[in-house]
Amino acid sequence: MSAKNFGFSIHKDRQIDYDKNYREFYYRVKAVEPSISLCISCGNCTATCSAGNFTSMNLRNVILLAARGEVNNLGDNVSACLLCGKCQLGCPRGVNTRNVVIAIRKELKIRRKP
Amino acid sequence: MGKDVLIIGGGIAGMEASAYLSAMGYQVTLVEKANELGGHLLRWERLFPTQRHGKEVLSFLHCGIDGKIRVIKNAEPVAAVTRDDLHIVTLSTGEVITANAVLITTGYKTFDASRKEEYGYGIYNNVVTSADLEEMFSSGKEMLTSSGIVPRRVGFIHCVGSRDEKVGNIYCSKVCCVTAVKQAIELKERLPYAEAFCFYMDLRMYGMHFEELYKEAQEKHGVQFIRGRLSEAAENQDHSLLIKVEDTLTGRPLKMKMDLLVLMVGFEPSDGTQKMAELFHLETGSTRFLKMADEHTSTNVSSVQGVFLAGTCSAPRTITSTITDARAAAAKITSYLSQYSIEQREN
Amino acid sequence: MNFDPFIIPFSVGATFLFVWLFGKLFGWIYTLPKRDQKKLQRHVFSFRILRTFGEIVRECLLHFRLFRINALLGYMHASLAAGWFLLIIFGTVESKVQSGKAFNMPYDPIFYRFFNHAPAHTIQLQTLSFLMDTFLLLVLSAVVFAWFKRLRSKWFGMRRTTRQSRVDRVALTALWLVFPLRFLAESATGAIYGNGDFFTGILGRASESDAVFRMIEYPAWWAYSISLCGFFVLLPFSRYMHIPAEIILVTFRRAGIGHLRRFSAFADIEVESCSRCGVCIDTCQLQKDVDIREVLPVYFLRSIRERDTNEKGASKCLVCGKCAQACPVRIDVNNQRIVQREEFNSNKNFQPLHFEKAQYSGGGKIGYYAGCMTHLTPSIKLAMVKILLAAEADFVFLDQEGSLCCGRPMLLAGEFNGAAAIAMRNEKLIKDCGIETLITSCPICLKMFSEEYQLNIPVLHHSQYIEQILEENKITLNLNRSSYTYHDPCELGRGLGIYDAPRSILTKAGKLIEPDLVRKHAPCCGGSIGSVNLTHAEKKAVTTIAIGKYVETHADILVVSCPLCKKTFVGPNKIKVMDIAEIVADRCEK
Repeated sequence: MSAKNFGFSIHKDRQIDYDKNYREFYYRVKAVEPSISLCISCGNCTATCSAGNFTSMNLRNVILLAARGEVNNLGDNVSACLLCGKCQLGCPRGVNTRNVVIAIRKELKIRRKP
Repeated sequence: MGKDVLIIGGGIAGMEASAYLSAMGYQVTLVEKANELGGHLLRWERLFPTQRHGKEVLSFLHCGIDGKIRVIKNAEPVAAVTRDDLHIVTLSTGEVITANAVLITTGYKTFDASRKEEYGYGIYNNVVTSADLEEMFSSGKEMLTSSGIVPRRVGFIHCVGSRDEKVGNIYCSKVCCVTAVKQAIELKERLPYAEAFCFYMDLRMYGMHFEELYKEAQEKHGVQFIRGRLSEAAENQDHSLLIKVEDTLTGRPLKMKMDLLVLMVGFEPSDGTQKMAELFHLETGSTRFLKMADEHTSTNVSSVQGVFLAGTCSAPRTITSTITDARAAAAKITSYLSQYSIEQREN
Repeated sequence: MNFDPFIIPFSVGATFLFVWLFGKLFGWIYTLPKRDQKKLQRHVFSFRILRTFGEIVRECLLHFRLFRINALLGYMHASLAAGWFLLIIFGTVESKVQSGKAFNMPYDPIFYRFFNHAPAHTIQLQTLSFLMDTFLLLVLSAVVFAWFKRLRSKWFGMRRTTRQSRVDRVALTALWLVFPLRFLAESATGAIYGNGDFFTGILGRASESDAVFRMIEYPAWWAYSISLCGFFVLLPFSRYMHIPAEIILVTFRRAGIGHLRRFSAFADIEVESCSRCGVCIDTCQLQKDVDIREVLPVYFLRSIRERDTNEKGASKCLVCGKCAQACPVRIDVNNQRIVQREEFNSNKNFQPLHFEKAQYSGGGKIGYYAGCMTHLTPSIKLAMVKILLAAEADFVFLDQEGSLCCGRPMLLAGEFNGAAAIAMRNEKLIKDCGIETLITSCPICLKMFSEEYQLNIPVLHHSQYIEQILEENKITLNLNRSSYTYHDPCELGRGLGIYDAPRSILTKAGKLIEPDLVRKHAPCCGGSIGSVNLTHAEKKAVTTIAIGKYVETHADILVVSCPLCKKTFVGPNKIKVMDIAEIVADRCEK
């Protein structure tokens, strides 16, 4: 018996579906750059980001979304990064931010390929 | 009885431990390198969470020791040797002191904020530290910026020199969060029309009544809290400051003009503490504070027999915790001198 | 015609080698871009080729550069290479003189003594015979040195020597056997027929009977031929490929051919030219300080050659360039590294979406470009503004409101497409400002501007500009009693060769105390943007050791000329760190 649908599926559910999300993404990135797990979401990287002033590039958010397995909109976000390394200088936790971006870009690419 | 205890450092911990040890009948000598006892307490005008005056606590500490112990000011140890459980310490004045036990209470220093160059301390006139602000408060003068105007907006930056791998300090300094809230309240009391913002990574209101103070700051004084770490500050033409943070809760970068920026500087082991570590061959932990023999059961015990620790030389502490720790150290020294070994209990 | 079956292994090996090498050379030239092929052609058919020959003799035979680095190592390589070369040349002459024919079999000189038993009867042949023995002795001395080097690399001033691969070891064994076997074979023949010279005659003179020599003579010539064959066949697959490759490298380089933004013939020749001498090993801070061996150029280049690059070896490296400056073959390891990074780059289609919004301020003759990093060290930019004002320069602060990145970090990460896109946009932005001179505080930007941009205006580091205005007396410094020690940033020093400008300023400002390692030998601070994935802890370890040398000088201030070095060295809090611009701004008088 199929569950009764009351029309809620017209709009996509806004909840983070933690169980269905592609959380392995985060672990795969973490295997390449373990320091991603050190992030405490202080936002230093985003505030200092040259690209972030003009685009949606927000490294803190990228890391957080990756950790939740919300990978669908990450691409636009990280593609603007110029790898300038300013964020890395400020990061209080010593996260290797440049390689986090590189690893995420790479992982997204792998994922897109069938 | 009649045994000698040497206490190095006449701050809060040194004074309080002196009082207890002398009350227990030991011959206490307190060495202080400045010409006045009190340490950092001399500089804090009012204390969290009660807004009580620092002077009151200082006079309480003085009551315990004045006329009861020997105080040597303007002196510091320059050499130390151990012979048959006796510590023979030479002071800079040339005097040699022999003691059955030594208590290190050399405390902390505040982080040198100019090391966070992007925050502009020592570069821009209107960037001050929390210690500087405290002095502005206690001077009793009118609060003005370097350009001589009454600040309309003041930012408090948490975690400067704390929780920061880039300056080598991974630890939390414990007191800065609540100090920022306290100072923001004091500022609002003096300048009710100014805006006060606290920029924090995490608000650590762990002590009794700290959360109430936080609530009071929101409720009564309208202090605003933005979750984001300052990345850089720049100076405008009028010497006000332009700061860049991410407002992490809205998820967007934020820039804001500030008339005065207060950096909540964290704790680092004082120069005296580092010197004592060398002199007495004490182990230091990864944080460079003096290492306790055991984090739970032997907090006042150093890595060297007969040398004990109290106060902020071993970890960042509040005044309350420092006083408690000084008394614990006194009890520990007493048990050591009467040959009661707490370590035996573990066997 | 002289013939014996034992010449077959040698002939087969030598033929194989020649065919292989010519095939390889043809392949390299064929894959060169048209422009480079023209360059090569022009070079080979010009008088400049003579200088190339000169360099080939100096470096490939006599190993001058290696001598300067390490005399023992230099002697070993020079005596082996030059000795062998002379053996071939004089051996050929000897065999031709003896036979009286201009053309004889190519193997004749190699097995000369076997086919010619008559003692040297003319003065020419006696001289040649004496020379041949001298060269053989020279080569054998090199082989003895090589044995010792394997056993005790420390005697050669090397803390570590290269770990060899299997092919290398077999080839090495063959090479080590060639000359002792030749000595044995020639001595045996010499003993039997009494024609050995001062060296190859030793054995014959030492023993009474020649029965033993009759027994070993023939097998020894066989073994000699086989070992030569083994060496020739393995040469293209072992590190000994560096012998022919280096000659080609020198020629290509002199012709003006260099790296491309992909793995090119030039890069391949460089890779093949690495002799794995191991001089680079001791220079690498990652190896010394944090024990990361994958990055070591000798292994990294080998992995490229074996088409087996690992990402760690490619991306951990600081790209400080210390190995490249130590390399006796002058292999451009930095470019090799970033070309390999490109292989791992997943961001080949970088789309610069937001560049249109970036703007720089114009309206002055001199443009000051602080650079991203300098915005995190505001005292440097303020110092520069103060100096420019004091010099009454007509200047504009281009990136006061922030900037695009110069593109070098992307370039270093192997993202060439992105780097080029940034460079193009920035170039336009800077040109639109209408400035006549560009000054920057960041050596990373400086390197990018001067090498990858076509700005057509002078681009200076601020230390060069300050030196200039000091000479023109636009500002003067009041000397004080402070003592300074100076750190050469990688990009400014090894990267661009700017060593003297900061030093000349510092000697005008106070006392300069130099640490042990300066100029091209200066350490990297550890904060390099060149490394993609060095961890914070690893960087910190490198920094702590690097700063130690400066603390030891007991100077009051460690002076740097790079915002990144400054930020990195402030971390350990061991010594006061200032940028050269701050020193000048503090003491500058109009």
